[in-house]
Amino acid sequence: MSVAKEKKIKKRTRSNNDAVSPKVKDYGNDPFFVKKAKEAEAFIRKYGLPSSSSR
Amino acid sequence: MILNRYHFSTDSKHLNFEFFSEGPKGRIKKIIRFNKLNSVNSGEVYNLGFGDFDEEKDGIDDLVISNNKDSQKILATVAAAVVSFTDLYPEVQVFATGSTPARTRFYVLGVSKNLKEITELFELWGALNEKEWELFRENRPYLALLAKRK
Repeated sequence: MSVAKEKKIKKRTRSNNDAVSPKVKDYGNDPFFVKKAKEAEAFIRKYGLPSSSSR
Repeated sequence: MILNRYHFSTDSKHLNFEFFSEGPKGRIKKIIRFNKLNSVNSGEVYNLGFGDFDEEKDGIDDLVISNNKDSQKILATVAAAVVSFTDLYPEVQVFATGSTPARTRFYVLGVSKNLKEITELFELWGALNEKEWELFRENRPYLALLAKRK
């Protein structure tokens, strides 16, 4: 992607009101998200991934 | 995206996102989390997880129906989080499926409505029942979606 196009897209998709904050918790070990990740792994084991996606 | 959406907060690694849904049912805290799938060998794949934060159980509940009359705005916010996450990790693949078949259909519908904008940024695939993945086409009965930045 060209630099100009990249900048145009970022300008359009970002908001100045979004924030990086140390107050945001790490939910990586939340049982719900752990379960969802395991289900996703099982799905991918069964169906694989699109052959062109990892290029 | 240019859609009306909520503003979010994220951690420095852009793996966790928080925002608040606001509507007739009040202010509801929503969480988006990208979890790396370690057992997948085809490049780096992250699962997109999304749910309501339940203060009582101090955890996530994705089966609750909050019905806050803002589903499109929420979907646009999740999409913006995917953009923010892949700004930082442009090589990864993002896997997404709904908690229920109805929710997956809702996500597919939402993507279909905004396909032109989404495909400016992402390559997108859908998994069909008992068949292989295909490049995303509007309103197909996908079981799951996979996105990667162009």
